Amino acid sequence: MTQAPNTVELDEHLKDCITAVHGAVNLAIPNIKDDKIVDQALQDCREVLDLVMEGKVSEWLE
Amino acid sequence: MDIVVCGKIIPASTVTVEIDPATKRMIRKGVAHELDPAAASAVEEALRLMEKAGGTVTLVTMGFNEITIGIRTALAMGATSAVHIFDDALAGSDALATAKALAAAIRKKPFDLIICGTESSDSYSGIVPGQLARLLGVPPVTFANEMTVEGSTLSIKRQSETGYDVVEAELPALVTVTSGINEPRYPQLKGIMAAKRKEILQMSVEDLGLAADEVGEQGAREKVLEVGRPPKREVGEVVEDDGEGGKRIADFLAEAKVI
Repeated sequence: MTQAPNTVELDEHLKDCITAVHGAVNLAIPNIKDDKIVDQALQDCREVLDLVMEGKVSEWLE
Repeated sequence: MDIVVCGKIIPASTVTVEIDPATKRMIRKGVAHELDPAAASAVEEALRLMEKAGGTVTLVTMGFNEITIGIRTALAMGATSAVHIFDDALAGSDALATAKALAAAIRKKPFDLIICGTESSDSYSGIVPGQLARLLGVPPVTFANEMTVEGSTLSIKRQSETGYDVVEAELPALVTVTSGINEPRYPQLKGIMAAKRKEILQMSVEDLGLAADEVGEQGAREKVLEVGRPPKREVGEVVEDDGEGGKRIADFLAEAKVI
């Protein structure tokens, strides 16, 4: 089977997305009672997930 | 204000650290690494100062290729650039040799403030910042759990048993920050993407103008003789409570002169 083009770049981009979500969640959980931190973390997670759901792969690779 | 952060990239918290029995050193090659939480606090403090007063934040660190991921974390948090001291000749460096290498790299550019963690979370010697300050000829201001810079004056609060001390120094200076000084920010996606375009300057021992026998195994003046596990704790006495449990506890505490 031929490897899909740009697999490495796509892998890396998705890894970056997961890293960003992971960082936000890791800070939010121990600070669950701090609305400012939790709101910011939720907003950051949403931004990342929106970007992934939008699926403009060619833009990710630019 | 041009700020330098000296921070270590250490084996990731998920990794079980192994010690090489021959060298007594931590096995770092091929192991996942991350930015030391102590360094993350130092980066955070530097970024807050930069956001207030402008300038740059440069991470200066030393280690193998494996540490690039930790450098990228600091850049993704917002550091402007990084210097990665990377040379096989540095393997086995003791604290003083590490300080010499860091000092040589820092001297290459003007700086106002150096921020370090109080100690790294993997080897805990805590002496590199003091040595670094001495080599650079700047005052070391240590154990800050709060810090401000007004004009050219650095002011810190250092926790003490009875409260805190306020310590001031004129810039340029070196400050070590405790882990409780702040909650380091996490790298956001934009920061992670931007970090890929930021400069990581790699420097070798030769680039630093150091002789090979000043660093690494050859230059080390301290040697780790033994690395061992802490002794196992003895199993305590198990007492079945047959109605006399309270008395047994009181007797035990009296014997230990606690009551």
